[in-house]
Amino acid sequence: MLRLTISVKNLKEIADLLNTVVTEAKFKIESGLISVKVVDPAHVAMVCLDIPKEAFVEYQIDGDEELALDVERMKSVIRLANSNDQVTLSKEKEKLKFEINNISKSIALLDNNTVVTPRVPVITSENYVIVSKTEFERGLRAAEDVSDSIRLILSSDEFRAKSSSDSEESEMVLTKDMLKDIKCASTIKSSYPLEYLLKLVKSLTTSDEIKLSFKDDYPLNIEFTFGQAKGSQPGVIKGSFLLAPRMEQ
Amino acid sequence: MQVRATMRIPPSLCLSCRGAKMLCGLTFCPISVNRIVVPKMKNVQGNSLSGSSPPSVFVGRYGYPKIRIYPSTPPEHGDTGIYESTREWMNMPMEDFLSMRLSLVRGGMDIRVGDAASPDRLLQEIQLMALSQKPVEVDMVFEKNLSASDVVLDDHLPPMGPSAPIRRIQVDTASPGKDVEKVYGDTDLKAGEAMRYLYSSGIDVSRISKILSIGAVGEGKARRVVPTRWSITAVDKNISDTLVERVKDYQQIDKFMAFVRPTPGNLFMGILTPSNWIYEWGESWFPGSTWNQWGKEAFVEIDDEGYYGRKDYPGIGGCYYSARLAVAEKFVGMRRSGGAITWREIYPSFNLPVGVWYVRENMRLMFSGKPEIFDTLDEAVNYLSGFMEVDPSRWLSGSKVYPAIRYNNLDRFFRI
Repeated sequence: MLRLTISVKNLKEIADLLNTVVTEAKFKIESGLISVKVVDPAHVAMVCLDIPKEAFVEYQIDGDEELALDVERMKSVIRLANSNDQVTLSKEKEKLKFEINNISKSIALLDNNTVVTPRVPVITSENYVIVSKTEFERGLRAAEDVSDSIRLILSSDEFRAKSSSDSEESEMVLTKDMLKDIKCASTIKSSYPLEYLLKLVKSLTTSDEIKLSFKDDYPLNIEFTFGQAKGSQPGVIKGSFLLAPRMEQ
Repeated sequence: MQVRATMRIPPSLCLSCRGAKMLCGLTFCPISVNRIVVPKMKNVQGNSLSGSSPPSVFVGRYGYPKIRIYPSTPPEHGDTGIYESTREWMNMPMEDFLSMRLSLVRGGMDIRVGDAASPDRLLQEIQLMALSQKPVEVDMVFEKNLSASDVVLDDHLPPMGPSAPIRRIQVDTASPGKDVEKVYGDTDLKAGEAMRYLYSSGIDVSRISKILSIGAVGEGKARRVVPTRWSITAVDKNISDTLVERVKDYQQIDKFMAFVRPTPGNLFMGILTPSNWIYEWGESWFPGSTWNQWGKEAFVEIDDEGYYGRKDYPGIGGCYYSARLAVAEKFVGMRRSGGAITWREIYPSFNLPVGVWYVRENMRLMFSGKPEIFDTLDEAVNYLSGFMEVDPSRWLSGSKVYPAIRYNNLDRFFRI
């Protein structure tokens, strides 16, 4: 018996985030938490989510299990709902049944062996910045038509995001007073593929602040919270996004 | 007319080979080519020629914008379509191909490229001939005897035979077919849109470049006759640009796909990568091959582009776009996206330029074959290195896509 009820908003944000890197995902279901880890086929970006019981309206499971799903199929089912609806998911043999108001729809589960859960590397960096998602998104959009990569520069008192091509340039500068928090001993720089970052921030609809940590020519780790608990407590779901640096040629 | 090998072949070798064993190591027998071309050319008597043009019209580039166009025909009647059919050339021995193409006799006429904006009756006749779906009967009278030394051997163009200035030409009526007729008649349609329309109607790029070259497409006043060499690359580029953009919306492939195709004197290789669009075309010419006559070692040259393409013309030439078209067609066929590494090795036995069609058609055939599938780029490269003559490290150190794919991901930092 597996029966989960969750708000459409939460489920949609989960699906969108996973869909920034993959089309198929395997969820690990445990007594207090559902976790999912995915990496894109090129191994450039990884998304890890911890969705606690509190993010659900109803959370009934028999024991630990794994469910592999086609994320795009799930998204197309969610599209049938209104944004304030709830969805109830239940497992029926090899299918996952979605109930939204007076509609029910089942999609096939995927073979657990065909969807591989990646190993999650340990990222260590003492340098980080906590920035408003909206500000960060603005900096990314400024770079969008300039280049396909963006250079992040962090120093003890400011955070910059820069992009340049032969003929164009864009730069966002956020000084210490405009940031929630910043910790960086000396200046660090690293470039990242812009497309992945844009996809990520577009799917993070309910996050206010994000934490970016990196070092010179090293993967970027973006930590964020999103979603709403039953009692409307925000940021109940925890996520991280790992992105490989772009080598300067 | 003499077709000469650029190396000296000892007579003893020819005597014990007699065109059968390829002892000289060339991919064609220069003696056989002469033997086949010379009798064919015997039909060319005096200063006139009558034949069935495949159809074929060559446009030179020298003196631009005052250039020369050459309606061409072999000295034979009947279905000569194979003279212009790049796909069919793939199944021919090199000497048959060469002797066929070298017997295409070209009658030269001076024109200005802008004449296509308001073509006179003669240019219209030649345009209609070039647009024809089927071979067209042509009678040409030349100002003087054919100049045998004036054959076309070019890295971009298929070979062509001797030429002489035209005094008179008579062309039979010909039908271009519905789709070509439509773009020819539509003087509001831009040339790029016309190319894309023709391609989507199932017309191959080799015919589209002929249509572009003769100045039969584009907005009325902007119509220009385009040198054949430029028109081929313009079409390969324009069509591949369109396909590459379309492919970007598809889902990515999820493994590395390695392809290989050995041909006489050449090795074609390709790796499709699970990544965003990124592309490179590399060539390695061995000492003694067409463009490396005096070198001591194989010369590796690679041009590449990232997700947004290139802004300048690749130094390696039009073959870059011919191979890119084959890559884009493969992704379209799979309805998947990805990146591509494409390399070609050219050995000493391949010492005659034959044109970029050779790259396009071989790459197309290579991608129609079954790939070997790998989880990592290094495994795919390792598989291809089993076929290579060039030291794999030379390919890898010159490659732009290899480090981008190999190092721009998380595997470089962690085992995932």
